[in-house]
Amino acid sequence: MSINSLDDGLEGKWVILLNEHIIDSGENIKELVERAKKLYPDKKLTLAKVPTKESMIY
Amino acid sequence: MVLSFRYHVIPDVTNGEKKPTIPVEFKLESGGYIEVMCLVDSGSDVVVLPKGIAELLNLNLGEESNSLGIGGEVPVRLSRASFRIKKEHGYHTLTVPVEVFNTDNIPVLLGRQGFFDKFKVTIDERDKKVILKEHSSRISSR
Repeated sequence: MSINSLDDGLEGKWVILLNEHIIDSGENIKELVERAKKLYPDKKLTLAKVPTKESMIY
Repeated sequence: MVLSFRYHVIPDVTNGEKKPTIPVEFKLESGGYIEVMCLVDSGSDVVVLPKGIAELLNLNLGEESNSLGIGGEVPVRLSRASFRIKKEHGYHTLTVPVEVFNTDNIPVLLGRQGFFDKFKVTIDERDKKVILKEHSSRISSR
């Protein structure tokens, strides 16, 4: 995934960041992290959930 | 020891949307660490994990329980998890009770038990910062 292809479709999804750039996204955390770790085993990766437009109340 | 974290913004996606999140590192069962942006949530009694994080850590899930939130009652599994927070030199490592939701559709919530009782937590909404001030030396530091 290129950062240029990002749009509102990421809302609510999990993303993997490498050096503050999104390199992958998805809804299944385990699959997403394992895929990213396979591609970048020695890099520091960050997992973050893209907020939705709605207010969050937990 | 005082740690200060600016609210994290996901580049090019959130358009300035900022939440009180801090970076926390979980050790993966497969080796290495994954940094996760976690929501600081004083309204949550405990630390809450989505299912996928528990799977990556290979947590032993205990008895099923119910957790009551504003959205109603949801089934959770009880466990314990360790994570670390980067400080100037080294890390704070904490092991805390957690509730694991059976979905990936929630962020990691840093609730009170095991977290807020280790730090004086300030959510500075105006300046978009979370400030953690260590209460005592009860936290293992390395």
